Amino acid sequence: MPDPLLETRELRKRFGGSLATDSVSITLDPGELHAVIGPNGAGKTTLVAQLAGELAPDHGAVLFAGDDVTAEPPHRRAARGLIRSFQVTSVFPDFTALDNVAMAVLSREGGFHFWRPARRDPALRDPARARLAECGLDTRADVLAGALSHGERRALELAMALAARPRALLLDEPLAGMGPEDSARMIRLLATLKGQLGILLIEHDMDAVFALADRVTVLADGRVIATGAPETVRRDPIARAAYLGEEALASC
Amino acid sequence: MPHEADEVGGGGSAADRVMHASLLLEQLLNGVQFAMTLFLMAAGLTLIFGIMNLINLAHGSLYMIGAYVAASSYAAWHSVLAALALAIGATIVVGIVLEVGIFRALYDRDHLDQVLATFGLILFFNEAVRMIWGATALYAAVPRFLAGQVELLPGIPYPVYRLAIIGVGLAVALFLYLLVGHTRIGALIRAGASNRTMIGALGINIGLLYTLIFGLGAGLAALSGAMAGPIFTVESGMGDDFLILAFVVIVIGGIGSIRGSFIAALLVGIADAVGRAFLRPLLALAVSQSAADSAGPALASLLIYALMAAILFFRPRGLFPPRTR
Amino acid sequence: MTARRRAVTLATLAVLALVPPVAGALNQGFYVDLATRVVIFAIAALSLDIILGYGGMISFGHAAFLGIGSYAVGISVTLGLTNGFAHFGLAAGASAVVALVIGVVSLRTSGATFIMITLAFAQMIYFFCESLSQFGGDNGLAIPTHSDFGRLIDLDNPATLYYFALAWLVAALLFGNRLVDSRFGMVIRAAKSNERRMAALGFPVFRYRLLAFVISGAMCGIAGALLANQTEFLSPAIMHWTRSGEIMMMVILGGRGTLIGPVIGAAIYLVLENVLSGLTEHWQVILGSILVAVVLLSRPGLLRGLIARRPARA
Repeated sequence: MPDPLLETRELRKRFGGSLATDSVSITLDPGELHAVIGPNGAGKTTLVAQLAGELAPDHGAVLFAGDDVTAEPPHRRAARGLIRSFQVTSVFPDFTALDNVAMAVLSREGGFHFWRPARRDPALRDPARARLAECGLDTRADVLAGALSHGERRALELAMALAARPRALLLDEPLAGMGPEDSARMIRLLATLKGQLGILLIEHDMDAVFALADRVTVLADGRVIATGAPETVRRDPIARAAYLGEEALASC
Repeated sequence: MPHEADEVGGGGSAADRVMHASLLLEQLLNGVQFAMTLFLMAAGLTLIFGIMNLINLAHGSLYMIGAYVAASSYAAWHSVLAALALAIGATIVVGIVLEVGIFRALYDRDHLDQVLATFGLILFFNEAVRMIWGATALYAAVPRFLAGQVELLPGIPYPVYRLAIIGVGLAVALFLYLLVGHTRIGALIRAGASNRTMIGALGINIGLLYTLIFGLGAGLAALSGAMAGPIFTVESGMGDDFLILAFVVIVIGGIGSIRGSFIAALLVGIADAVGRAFLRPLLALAVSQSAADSAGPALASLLIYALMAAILFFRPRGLFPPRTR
Repeated sequence: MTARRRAVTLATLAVLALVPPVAGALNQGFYVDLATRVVIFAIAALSLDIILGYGGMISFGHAAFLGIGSYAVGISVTLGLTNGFAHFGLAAGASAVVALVIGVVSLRTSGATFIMITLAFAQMIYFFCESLSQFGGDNGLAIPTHSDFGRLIDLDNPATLYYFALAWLVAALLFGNRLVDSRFGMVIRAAKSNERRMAALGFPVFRYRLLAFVISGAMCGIAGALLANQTEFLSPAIMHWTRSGEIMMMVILGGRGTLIGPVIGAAIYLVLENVLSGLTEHWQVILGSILVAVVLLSRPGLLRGLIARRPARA
């Protein structure tokens, strides 16, 4: 059986008195879309930080395509093909949307080039335009990222992530704060990406999760409390109680 | 590095005395005394930088004004009390005028703009003191009742004045400890040092708090300058190099931490004194005496900066950074 | 480079190129002297702009490289080496090596710590040079001869020295503009904009910044070699931290992140200093006040609004 694309083994992280991540072991297989859901405070953000390399776990390991990357900083993991998007939009506000994506395209090249102007180079611009078009931003290519609407910037985040030619995508609440039209477009886009690469999707939007996911994992209090096919998890009483139960109780 | 005007007792660098315990004790005390003058500068600087996020290169100018006013007041009236009161008072006034007129507009600007503006202030004040007091260095006399030496241990004399400086420094440290740790204003200062935006949200009159803090810093700088006068030369620009050292201290100690600046000041002061004491004779073993005499002090200064670089390499936020914002 | 910046650059260079003939016509050889100083500091300020204006690295120790470049020439001459190529090669090389060391340590930090640590290194170098008694120590040392480029370039002639320096400035502008628009430059600029993002994309930002720091240091070292030739004097005072502050001020005055802005800033600062010191011996009071006023009354840079389009394009 081939190695999972992304894997955590018994990941543990303590902050002060509590365990933000408690023996979390999850896998992401090539081509699958694995959604991680959980109530606020479940430890999703901490988990993402440890996967991306911004936070070192107290215990446990993070593996990418079979290699132990636990000690590697974010840029090394990204260079391997583990590309993330941020929950709070993180782009280059004083660059145009096109230049933003061009930087992501550039990230796949190596070496130092000091002379030729980069912005007008088709080797960077063409793939960048293509990614922008996929995400519905082709008409906004020359707008400064700081001037884009919130939904457009979320789309830009995704365009940048895609332009970096990921082997595994770590998407941290990509639909956060998006209107219904933008959300629908992004869900369609993610659906087309399924199968081509592994996607670990952290999300609150249940419609998106159950429409897209091949597998769902429920996180609560830093622990994995349920994992499996979407329908199985949806009907799991423990999962419902911990997470979906919040909404059920609220609607009583 | 400021040049010592007169050796107020003690000193001497003959190679054969390097091993004497008495010399070591003397040098250590010199280091502690230097550390106390540094601490007074650093304490104000760390508060201003930590709470108001203001890089104030003109803090050294406040030190200089304190030294000038104290020296000339004492020369005129021979009263330590008057000299100190005038020096501290005048500097606080200047500081508050600067704060209200200039720094208030700088708090929201980025560090570069603050550097530029306060650099302009350095030029301004360096020339201003020359205009008022003339270009030659001012003589600052040691107050009569603090002149002379005292025997710390049999056969080990030490200048009373330097002991007085150490005493004042410790007293101020105690005062600040009580102020910051056990008063309401102190609580605000501590909160501000770790989270600036929070104190605004608490509804405190930020403007007034900032002005008070700035005034406190100015007063401490003036006290430092006033006391340093008899030991270092009172001249235009005396505060510039000393300021850099104070910045080194607050960065080593952790920006926003008074305790950190106290300990860092001691580290720097003692390292400096030990460096000066031992580097010259050590060098003299390798090169000529005159080369050692000129290279020694410079290399001692170099050591301080190397120390800072080493500490920052392992602890980029300093030794005692306040709990994060 | 935008059309406006190109126009400003060409205009500035044209003005600079005309200084010797104009000075000759007015019989004011002193203008050439001042202009040479302007050009030298323009190169230094430009080199700082690359890492500060474009890279966001606020180095407060750049004068150290001016000093290293100067001392490379001064020490060489004192030891009998007068070859110009050797001088300038040593100046750039030594500065590059020192920049590498400083960068490796400093670039792990950021913000105020970075500013202080670069300042500290500059002070270290300052005190080290002050301790070199055989090269003048505190008092400095006269440099008896200029860098020798044979019959190609006679640096004894002030006008020749000026055009030599101007040629270096042109080269620096050309290289600098290429650099900031190249792939390398885009990485540096993006890292200034959002470092976390760059790491998340896989860029080894530290490596890029280190290289930029080294390039900047070497460029400033060249300016130092030119300075030694102009002042014919070697002194540690050239690398005192207040000098670093002056260079930084030239960058800020002219408008950071424009390359030509700092060149103009150098001209403004040095000409202002010259004019004011001629008016009164208390010129520093006036210069200081002007600097404070400039900061309080303007946003980004004095001329940045004129040189760069708004909103600031990447």
